Amino acid sequence: MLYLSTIIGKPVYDASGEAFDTVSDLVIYHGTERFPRITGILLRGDRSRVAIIPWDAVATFAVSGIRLRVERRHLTPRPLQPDEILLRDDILDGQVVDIDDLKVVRVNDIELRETGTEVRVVGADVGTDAVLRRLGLEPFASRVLERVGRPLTPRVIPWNLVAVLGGTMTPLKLSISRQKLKDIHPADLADLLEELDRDERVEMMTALPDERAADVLEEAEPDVQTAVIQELPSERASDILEEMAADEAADVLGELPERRAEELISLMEDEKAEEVSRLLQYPPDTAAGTMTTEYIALPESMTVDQVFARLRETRPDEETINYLYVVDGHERLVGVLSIRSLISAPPATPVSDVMLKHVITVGPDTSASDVAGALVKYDLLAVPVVEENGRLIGVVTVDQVIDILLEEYGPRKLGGGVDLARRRAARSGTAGA
Amino acid sequence: MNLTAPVFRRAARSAALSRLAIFLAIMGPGIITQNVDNDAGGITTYSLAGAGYGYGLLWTMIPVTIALYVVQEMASRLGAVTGVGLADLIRERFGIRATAFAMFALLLADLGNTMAEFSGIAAGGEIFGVSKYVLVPIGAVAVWILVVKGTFRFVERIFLGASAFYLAYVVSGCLAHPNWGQVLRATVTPSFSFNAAYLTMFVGVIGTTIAPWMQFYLQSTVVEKGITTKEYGYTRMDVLIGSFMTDIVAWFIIVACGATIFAHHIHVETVQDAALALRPLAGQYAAALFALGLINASLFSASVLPLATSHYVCESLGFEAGINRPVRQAPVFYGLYIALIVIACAVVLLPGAPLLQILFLSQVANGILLPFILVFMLLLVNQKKLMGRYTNSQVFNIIAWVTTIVMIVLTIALVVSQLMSGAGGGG
Repeated sequence: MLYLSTIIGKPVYDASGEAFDTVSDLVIYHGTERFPRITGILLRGDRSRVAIIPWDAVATFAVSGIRLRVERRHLTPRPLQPDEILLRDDILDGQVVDIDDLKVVRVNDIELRETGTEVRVVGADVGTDAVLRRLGLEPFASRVLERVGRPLTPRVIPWNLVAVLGGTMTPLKLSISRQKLKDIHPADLADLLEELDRDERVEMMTALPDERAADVLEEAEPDVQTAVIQELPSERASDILEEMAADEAADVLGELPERRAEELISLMEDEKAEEVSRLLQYPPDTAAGTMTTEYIALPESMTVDQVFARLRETRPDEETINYLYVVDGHERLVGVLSIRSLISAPPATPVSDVMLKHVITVGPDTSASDVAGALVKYDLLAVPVVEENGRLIGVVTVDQVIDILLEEYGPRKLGGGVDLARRRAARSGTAGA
Repeated sequence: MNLTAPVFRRAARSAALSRLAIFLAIMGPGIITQNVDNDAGGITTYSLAGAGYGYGLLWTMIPVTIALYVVQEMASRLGAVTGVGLADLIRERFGIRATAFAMFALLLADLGNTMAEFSGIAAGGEIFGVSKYVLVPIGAVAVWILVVKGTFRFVERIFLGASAFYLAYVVSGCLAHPNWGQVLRATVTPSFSFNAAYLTMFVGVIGTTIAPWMQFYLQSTVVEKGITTKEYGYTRMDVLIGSFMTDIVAWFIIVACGATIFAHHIHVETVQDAALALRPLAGQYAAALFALGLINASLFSASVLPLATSHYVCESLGFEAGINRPVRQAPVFYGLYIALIVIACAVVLLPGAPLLQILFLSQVANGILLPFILVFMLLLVNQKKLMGRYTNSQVFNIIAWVTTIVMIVLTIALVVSQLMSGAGGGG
């Protein structure tokens, strides 16, 4: 097995057989290849000026050293290209994302393999045996561990499942990160976000399209949300906030220093900016401070088939479709419809005939825990927030209430078990395919 | 249309107030680190310095404060600029051998510190007549519960509040009516003596004030708080205040001990003797006050130190770490953590374990191991590629390098003098 750590420091011979320098680093092209080729060698003597010996000059590549096919004086070192990275400098000992196990891991070594005239990177070694190998303790430690019946199991992540984040961002690098992260659930990405360093977070969020970045941010812990928004350039930050639900965006903005919040709001579209500013006025632990403004309100004059036509057209999210609220000409809440009641009603019936007129509501100032109580008591999936004059201003859903309750009473983090079960299913699915 | 007005609702009444609000939000890392720093080992070392040498070591407080500020400022700047903790940074920049080396030094120093914390608990208990065989296990379990149940964040405030205990030294130092002229003169007049006991004390005082773990802890806290170069000015203030607070307390402990224990030619043989310094304030309750302070400081630090140490070691070496992971997922992390606590408790519980010596010599070990960590910090903070325009200024480099070299020279001198006198042990 060929490892980066065993190549570094090995002699480099030129065509005349003279060992004139040693290996300091290897270069790969960080492109679309699943297992990238090594494109050059950085010699110790060239380290300070980062001059690369191109791969064409290499005759043989082995643990004992590298032999070049040209003589020393005919070497033509070239500068590092923008999309090239140095394996030792940029990746070894750094953190990468294991996109299969959805974990942030530290690269203890890099596994290489010779294929024909090329040498390719095949995996990131994250095992303890790699640590011991590099410390020169492996033979001793593995003997001891074997004796006690707990031999070390190697842990190498295949390179196609490794996402390298952080460092210098180039368009190509970002597109690769995007590619590698594209199948991961936003909630899982949010968990990863928490474990990443600042620069790596920025790269991940920069690589994601606005809408997905917004989904991820909505799922993240409050302190991560603020940290990310603080680090991103203003334009990008406000774009992401704009894609978030207004109440979530308001929560994030409420945690920022005011000057930054003002700046970001001013960069948002007028309509969204207005909504977010309005939500920001409500104290956070009240119904109004918790509610979402994404709900469906229908005029009472509509008929059942018109409602269906509207729903088909607007394609609402699954969280908002549980209840459809009916309002009068002054936006006052007059009733509520369930999809069930709509389905069983004749198409031409006006909604005012089908709707439930006794709606359980809460006021804007109702405390969040009372709202939770109301949802639990009446077995609701959402409760409308209504001002004193009867105007409907928002909805608190059961999802939001669960978040509140967990924050107050629950364990700090849920979802480990669920997560594993889901992924196991996903993996056996891909294995079958 | 004024969209921004509502945002003002949460803070902001005037520019000055909002600046204060930002400071209060960012404040903490420096001041908390310094408070954990004034732990059982710290109190003991300063007490012994005052009790053994009177005001003779007071002069060290000025250079030590400057060095402390410079070193802590470097740690927090590294955190703010890179967004990465010190252990991780050493790993990413210097590779695995350097990391293993630094982590070994840290582990060694912190094993000593953990022993010191449990010695503090044991000694505090003995003053109240409670056997260490009862109190130390209770302390270990209390620490475990605090950490695992996640109640530490809540209790942290109580600990911090209780560290107002240090004010007792300020008052007691004043009530002892030292000769202030003499005290101030001693503070600005350097003196030195080349003998093993003095050198040990010297290294101990520096080691307890500028401990290796503090740099890791401070840098991680700065990173966790999400402080960047934008808010960094406030953090610098926080570190400055913290450095002064620690050393003013240290100064008063030395003065109080110098004016009482040293002045009455009492030889400190047990931790209990060190309580005499609080006599002018607390009279017959001096011992009780001292014991309570010691136990509080010890519990506080024992909750922070072993856990933080296991974290740094594991994260930098690529083992899973974190108290929110099950033991099965992070065996090395829990193994290290438990080992630190169990070994420390076991040593303290040995029949006739010299608590005072453990408390003191662990701080000397900190001093001896400090240069190893300082060298890494200095190399990191001067890397242009890493720090951009936030590399060290010339003055900072000089102060930090001088500190490093002084510690190395002192350690060598200590070894040489020990060999020359042929006598072991210090204090």
